[in-house]
Amino acid sequence: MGYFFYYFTKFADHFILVYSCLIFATYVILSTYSGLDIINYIRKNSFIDYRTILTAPTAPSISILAPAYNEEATIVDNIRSLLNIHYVNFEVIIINDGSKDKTLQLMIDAYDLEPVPYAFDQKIDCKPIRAVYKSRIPSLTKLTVVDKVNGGKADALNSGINVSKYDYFAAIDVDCVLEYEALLKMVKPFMEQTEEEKVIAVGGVVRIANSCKVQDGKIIEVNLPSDFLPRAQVLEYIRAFLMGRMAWSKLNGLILISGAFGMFDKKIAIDAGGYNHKTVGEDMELVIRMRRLMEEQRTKYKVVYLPDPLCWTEAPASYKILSRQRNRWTRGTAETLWFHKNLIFNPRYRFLGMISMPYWLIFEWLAPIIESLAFIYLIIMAFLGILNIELFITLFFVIYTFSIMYSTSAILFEELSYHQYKKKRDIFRLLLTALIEPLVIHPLTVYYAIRGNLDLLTGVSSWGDMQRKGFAKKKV
Amino acid sequence: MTLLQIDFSEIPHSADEWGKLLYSFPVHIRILMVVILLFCLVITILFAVILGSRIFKTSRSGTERFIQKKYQPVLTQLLFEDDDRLIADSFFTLFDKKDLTDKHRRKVLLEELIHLHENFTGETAMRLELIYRKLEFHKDSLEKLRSRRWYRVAKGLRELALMNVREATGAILPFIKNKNEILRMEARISLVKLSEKDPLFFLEKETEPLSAWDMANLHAMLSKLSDSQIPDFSSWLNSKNKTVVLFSISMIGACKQNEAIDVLIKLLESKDDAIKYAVIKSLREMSASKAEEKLIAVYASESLEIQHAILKSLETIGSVKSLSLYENILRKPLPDLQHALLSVRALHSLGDKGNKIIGELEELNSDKIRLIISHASDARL
Repeated sequence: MGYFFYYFTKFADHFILVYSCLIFATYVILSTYSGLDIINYIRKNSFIDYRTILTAPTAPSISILAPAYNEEATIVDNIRSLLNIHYVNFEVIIINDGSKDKTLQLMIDAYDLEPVPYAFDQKIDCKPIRAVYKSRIPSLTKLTVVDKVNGGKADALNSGINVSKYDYFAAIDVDCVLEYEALLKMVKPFMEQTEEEKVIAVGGVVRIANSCKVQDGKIIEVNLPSDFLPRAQVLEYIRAFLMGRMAWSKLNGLILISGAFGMFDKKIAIDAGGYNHKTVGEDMELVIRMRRLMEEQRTKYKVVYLPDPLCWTEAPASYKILSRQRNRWTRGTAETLWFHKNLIFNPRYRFLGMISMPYWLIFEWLAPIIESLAFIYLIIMAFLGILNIELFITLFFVIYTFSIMYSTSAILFEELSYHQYKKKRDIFRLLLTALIEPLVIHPLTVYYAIRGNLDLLTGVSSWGDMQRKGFAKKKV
Repeated sequence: MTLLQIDFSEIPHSADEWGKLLYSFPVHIRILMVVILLFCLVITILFAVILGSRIFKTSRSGTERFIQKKYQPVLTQLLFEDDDRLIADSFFTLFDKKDLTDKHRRKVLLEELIHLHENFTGETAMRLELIYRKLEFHKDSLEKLRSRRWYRVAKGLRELALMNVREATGAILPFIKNKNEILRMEARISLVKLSEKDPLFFLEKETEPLSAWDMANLHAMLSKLSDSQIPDFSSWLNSKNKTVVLFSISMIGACKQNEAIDVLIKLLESKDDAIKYAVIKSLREMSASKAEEKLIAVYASESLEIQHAILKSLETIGSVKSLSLYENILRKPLPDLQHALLSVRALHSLGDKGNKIIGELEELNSDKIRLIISHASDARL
């Protein structure tokens, strides 16, 4: 027994060390790759006039799909913001997913809507549509409101795809604020695609809008969140979006486009079966299924990611809401990996099967589990009085300083690229957040992820109520 | 007092004791300690770079604001007032020598001129071009073409095109064969703007595929030319480069070059769906009613996507000759929804004869057809 225990502890010590080193190495490689790609992207697009697209006969038409569930507080303003998007050929489809509040009635009243006879092909399964509404106001022809039986976000998006007219669709969270040129920038990669290589989806950076000032559906003043929790998420988002996904996009291994804002080739999305309403990670699941389809058809394709801040969203400002969000993200990841388990380490799916999927399994889904197990292991060792305290302390500081270094790199990325937080004190506040975040927020996110996995095992499948505070509005 | 295995009374008090303590640790712990120090060093460097960048950016934007504020009244005077100083020797006295010799200030001034030019046309734009030349910024732009950095070259190409530096055509020409696709595109756009006679002369020898983005940029630049400068796009319809053919077809439609309609109708026999699709779209844009019979004739043998494009075009150019085609589509037991919607719309556009058929179809005992008719009849949908 003692012999076994000795070898077990040796193995555990080495495993923790090797796993940590592997995570460090992937982070460093990905961020270096991202950095180079962002520089290239900024240079490439620095002198481009996106207005060219507005007059181009080759510019694609876009259907903007925005599901709404119990959004009575903001829906009227949100629609106005979507209708003001700077683009030529587009339609805005709001899908009222069986809201229990006054969302639908408010839309009907504000935009003078009436039910219309609407014929459409049900190309993807979705819950029944009760009615399709159009406005009586001639200037609002771009707006369509779909009222349907509640079926969740994925189901609402599928309804939107069925009703949409155009070849590309942008899925967006209705409460997001889009940058003025967001659609123009998202459309460009589709216009750059060649016959040899199809662009199947485009994603953009999502930024945190807490404390920012919003007027008429536009961000008019970018501020660093005043509260610690959303501020910590600013760092997290920069790390994830600017330092992670850019690299995956460059490697053509990106499997997640944020549900907050992404644009897709409709035909491929439909051929892949549309959004999967059996998972709460429908955004990631769709991208994987589209990629899988392309791999099976042996078609050359890419999923493009843009580093521009295109979409602003309100991050959870309370620990309760954050716990629900992270719980859902974990369940979504686990479900998606389970649905596509036969892709993992499957050479038939090339980069997707051999690198992207294993990475998400080992370093995204398993990371909090391994971290928690390592923590329990350390407690047991300490309890038994055989904890190698020197190794524990040094390892802790290695991980802690690495976290700070990684976050500081994220701040540098932001500073050198898009420079959104211009106030002098913002840099110091972000750095202070980088010092505290690994000690406060990180353990919590690990805990929420573990809860998410446990909820998945016990059959919890709810989306989780995501109450928002609303944006600060500029006083006029 | 001990916590786990640490005896706090044993904490060293001098550097010597710290050194001894450090060397008392096993090698792997010492390595990890070095790693921690290394990370701390990197954090310090990153922090210094962030602060340095912030200071540098603040100083730069200060200079930019200063230059903009200083020259705003000067440029307003030169551009909007009937000021003969634009051509007089006193012109140079309006600008400080330091602002024209300092690299950064000169760059800011050039960017200000470029920015203004992007927002003005006509007389004001011409005055800006004159200021640009008098301050010898065209030499700066030409110098950029010699840079090893592609993005500087691209910027130079844009500036030369925007400021109408026609003598730069020779220097720009080699870039249309450059390996870098962005430089190729910028060179093409610049040549369209600067060539006096044949703005698209390079299309003949173009071997690289044009993307929709390239086409959009060429289209944007062509739309700024006068009608007499627009070339006859039918001359590239036989190009071996398929994307050049597609671009030419779309430009024939956009520029309404009706003399090319017959050639386009012949192209409906192409085996390539992309070409056929572009042709049908252009015929619609030109309201080429001449193409109706051919479109009806080829309809049955085409793919769903091409059929869809044909019906869309017939809605604009069709006549009573198309009636039976629409009727056949709508009387099918399971008509394709998009085709059915387009057919109803096309019937509506034919007036009484079309509406009569719609009336007959409404009387059929089919909820689906009635829904399709109601949908297609609503102009908002």
